[in-house]
Amino acid sequence: MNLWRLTLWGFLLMLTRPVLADRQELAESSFQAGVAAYRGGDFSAAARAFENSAAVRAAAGTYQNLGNAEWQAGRVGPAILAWERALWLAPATPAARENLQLARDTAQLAAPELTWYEVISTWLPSGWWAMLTALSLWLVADLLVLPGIFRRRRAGWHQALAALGLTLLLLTLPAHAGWHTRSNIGFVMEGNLPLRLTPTEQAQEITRVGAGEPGRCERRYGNYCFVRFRNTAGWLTREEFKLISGR
Amino acid sequence: MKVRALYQQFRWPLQLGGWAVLVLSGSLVLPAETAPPLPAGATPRDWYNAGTVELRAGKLAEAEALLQNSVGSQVAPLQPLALYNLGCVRVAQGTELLKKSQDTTGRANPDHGEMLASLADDASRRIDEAIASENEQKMISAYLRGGGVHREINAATKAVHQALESKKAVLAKWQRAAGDFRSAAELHPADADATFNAKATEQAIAALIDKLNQLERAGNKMKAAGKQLGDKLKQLKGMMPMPNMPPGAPGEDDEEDMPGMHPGEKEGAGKTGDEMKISPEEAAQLLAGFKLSGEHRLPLGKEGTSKPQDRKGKTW
Repeated sequence: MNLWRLTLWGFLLMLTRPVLADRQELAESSFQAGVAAYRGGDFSAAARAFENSAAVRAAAGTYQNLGNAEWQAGRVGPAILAWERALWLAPATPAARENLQLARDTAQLAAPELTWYEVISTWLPSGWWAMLTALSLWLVADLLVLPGIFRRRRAGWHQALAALGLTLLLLTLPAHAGWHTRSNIGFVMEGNLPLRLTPTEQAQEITRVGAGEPGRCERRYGNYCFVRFRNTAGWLTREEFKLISGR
Repeated sequence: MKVRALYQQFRWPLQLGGWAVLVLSGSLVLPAETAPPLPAGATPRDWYNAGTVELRAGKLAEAEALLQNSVGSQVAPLQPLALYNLGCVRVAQGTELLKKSQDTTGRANPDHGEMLASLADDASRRIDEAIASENEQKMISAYLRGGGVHREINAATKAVHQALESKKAVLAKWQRAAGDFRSAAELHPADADATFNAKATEQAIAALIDKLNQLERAGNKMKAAGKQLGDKLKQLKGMMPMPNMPPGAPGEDDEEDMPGMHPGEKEGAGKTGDEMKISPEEAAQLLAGFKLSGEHRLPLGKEGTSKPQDRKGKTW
């Protein structure tokens, strides 16, 4: 029975391996095409290529380059979004952080306002927080349960480690909350876009918003997002307002 | 002493009277409330109901503000209803503007503009002939005739400009109303009334745009003809001997410089012409089937709840 299962898993792995390899290859070739186009000065083509590469395999470096290409092509909104996505995937990307600062200073744009738990969530990549939570949970559970199972007396260091694990677990919870709320932050893609009063095509215009302005998507209706900006709120389409999380 | 004693005796009634006078005079100075004030904790439903009441009462500005608040509150079930009523309000506002902007002189009319342009061409031709003949009498006659036409063109151009401005305001209102109806239909696709009203409003808009274009073309034609005539008049003026010069000189824009009429002389152009074709009546015809007074305005009543005007009862 076990041999049969192993054979099945091996067969499935063999089937999926070429597909995964193809995707890796596509991401790599798109990335290289983007680099070549960027060096050749064709920033729009470079942006398209980096976007294709990021769609196949999201990586901080690809988003960093995408941001550079978009900025060079004169598209402020997509550039800011790409750099923010680079930081979302890898907060320790100083180049993206510096570029964002420069872009915001140049275009006179504000950064999104973050709550304290959202700030904590920016310290590590999102996947790391999940890993840390899982590890600390298992550590606490193991240290509390395993000595009993193996009929060993709980030592002092067992309890100290369990307390440390529990503290770590509790500390990761606000980060998760911050990560969740931060995933609704997004940016306006184009300049001078009309902010709608209702989620409809012929809606009344409330005001106009500029490219790269940060906002939070509070509700969704069809292809529309109800976005709250610093001073106003209204509806934008998902093409006009893209989320940092890419959802 | 007596006065003081009297004052002491009637101190309270006198002070009360003084306060009453102050309060009354204050209420006379303060502006009266135009719309019934809503309580501080008014809900979007209250805004909607109050807006509907104002719409029924014909207070369009108040109704627009209240319904706009209701739509802006982003309560999903309420939005299509409020948008529908907002569309009705804006159509009515546009129609009112159209009524107010009626041109009583008959000058803001494409046909009148065409006629004036041809009269201006005729006057220009006469001036050319007079210059060629070098006949003083002919020159004076052509000058006076041309001046009359020029003056009328100036007045008509102003009237056309005013008509264009006011009709553009109507157009903006109706376009917003069509957008409101379309939005209501988009949010509530089963609402056939909203789709119907959107189409009716769009037809009225198309007709209004046609008339605007006609008027604009006629205005441009008149302006060009008027400019040409003005140049000819200036040329003619320079050629006429000073003692026989008619008083004033026709300028390009100013009516005051037009030559005065001499006894026996005829003015170049009459003030004939039809009224502007997109009249309120025509607009009313276009919007004949407009469902403004249907049950749609008060759909809450159908649900067995209290009527909108009864804001004490439960409405939602």
